[in-house]
Amino acid sequence: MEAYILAVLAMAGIYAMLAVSYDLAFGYAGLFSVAHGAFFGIGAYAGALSMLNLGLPFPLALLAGAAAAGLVAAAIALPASRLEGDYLIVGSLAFAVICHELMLNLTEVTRGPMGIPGIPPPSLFGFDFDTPWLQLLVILAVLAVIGLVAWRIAASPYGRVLRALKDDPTALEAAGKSVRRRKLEILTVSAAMAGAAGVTYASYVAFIDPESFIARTSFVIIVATVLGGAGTLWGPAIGALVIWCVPEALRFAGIPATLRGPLNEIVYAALLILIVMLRPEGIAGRRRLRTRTETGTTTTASTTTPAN
Amino acid sequence: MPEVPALRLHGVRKAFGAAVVVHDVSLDIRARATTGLIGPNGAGKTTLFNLVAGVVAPDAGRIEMHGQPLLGLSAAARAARGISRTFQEIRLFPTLTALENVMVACQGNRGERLGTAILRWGIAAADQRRVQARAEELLAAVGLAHLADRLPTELSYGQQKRVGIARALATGQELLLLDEPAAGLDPDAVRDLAALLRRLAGQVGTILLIEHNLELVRELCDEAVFLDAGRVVVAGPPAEVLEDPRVWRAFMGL
Repeated sequence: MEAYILAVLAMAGIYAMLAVSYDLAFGYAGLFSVAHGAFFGIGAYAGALSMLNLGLPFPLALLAGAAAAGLVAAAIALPASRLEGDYLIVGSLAFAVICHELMLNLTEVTRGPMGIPGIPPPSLFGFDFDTPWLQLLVILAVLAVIGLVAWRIAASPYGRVLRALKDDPTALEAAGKSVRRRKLEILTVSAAMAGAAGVTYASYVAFIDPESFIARTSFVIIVATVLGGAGTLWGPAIGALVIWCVPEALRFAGIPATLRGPLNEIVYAALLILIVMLRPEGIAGRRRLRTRTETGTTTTASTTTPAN
Repeated sequence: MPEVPALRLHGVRKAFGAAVVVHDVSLDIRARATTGLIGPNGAGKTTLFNLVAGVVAPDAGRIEMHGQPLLGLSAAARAARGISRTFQEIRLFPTLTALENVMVACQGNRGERLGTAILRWGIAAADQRRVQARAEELLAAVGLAHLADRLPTELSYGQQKRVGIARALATGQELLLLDEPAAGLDPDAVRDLAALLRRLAGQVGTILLIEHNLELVRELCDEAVFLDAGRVVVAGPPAEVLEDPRVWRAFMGL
């Protein structure tokens, strides 16, 4: 039972990294990409291969995975930063599909559908983090670093520029801030964080194959982010925890294993619809736009103060 | 030697598909003066603003600020050189407070660099304090210091327009482009606006404003330009331009 709970928490931690990093691009900058799962995969493969083939220690593999995902994202974002709204969704989906195909078919590198087994657990100065508790510790440490960087970005003046970018790119450009540069930067950083999550994941599960990085992966990240509250950082982390606990609840509800897979998808979709209908700002989201009555009160109040 | 104009347009032309919106416009805007751009709807006034601000590129012609060519520079690069603007539809950032709307437009904030934001907390915090003080000063200049923490939806239309002006002042003050600052304001608010713009005229570089309120143009502007169907019809001192029969015909339907 203990190992089981630790495993759920470990996956929740890894998806919290993904949701938090996705929130920077989606929740703050308003960039609706569906390629986050692909960057997760690029990081996982780069990390796994650099550990197995180059013998890199885990911390360096972590950086290698982040760098690989970040570089690919930067290369993709150069043209993609011209895309907006629906076009960015379609463009990023195409990219995600291409990535999945490459993972399947570049068999000399990725071994295709056979996947890459035997990825070593995290180690530091010869000490292996090979028990469930130690692995969870590593995941939480990586999550803490990603969370700290994301918090700095979001809370700094840079985060304010990102929120303005989401609100009105034309007005931001008129205020002297290059929209393309910000899009490029935040897509790169967000992807690099997903890459680090990928390395952590590869090292945790010890085996990766292309099926872990399909469009569904991106979809789960998006659900976690929206559910938790886009644009809040810690909300998406909570969303990731919820997303990993709900299927486990189904397990205990006595639903047969053959039904649980498809039922998961239905539950995710239902959660997404419910949250969008009932609490669009998410679990942690704060209502920033006041309701009509509140605005009315404010207007009345401000007329009593002398104008100017 | 004639002085170099703040803004020079030479043979500027812009068409959207078959519709030619700006026809070979050549125009000098006098430095350190307030110029009013008037004309009926569809005359190409806002398109002219967009051409100067770099939002749209001209099909032909040159645009220079203080003798330096602007073509090829992005809107952000032009803003960084001191060309700032307000929008007819205001376009404040709806999820940012009034103060944040102004702060985000301040230039040279090192905390807005990604690396500094992540790693150099001290610098980011110092610049944040500096920029906040500057933004508070500008909000006070437009008379909104007491509403700094309000969201745009909690402000009246006239107050939102003032935040827009403060945001433009934060962006740059070399050339201020104001798109219909008085539109939608009641007479009291127009009077306040006139007082504000007169104050600004002594402080900022050059002001170019689009306005339908001809009384305001007469009162505020050193120069007026009448634009009709994408062409400059008459330009000169407001008293003369506003008495021109062609202007009367356009505005009165005579």
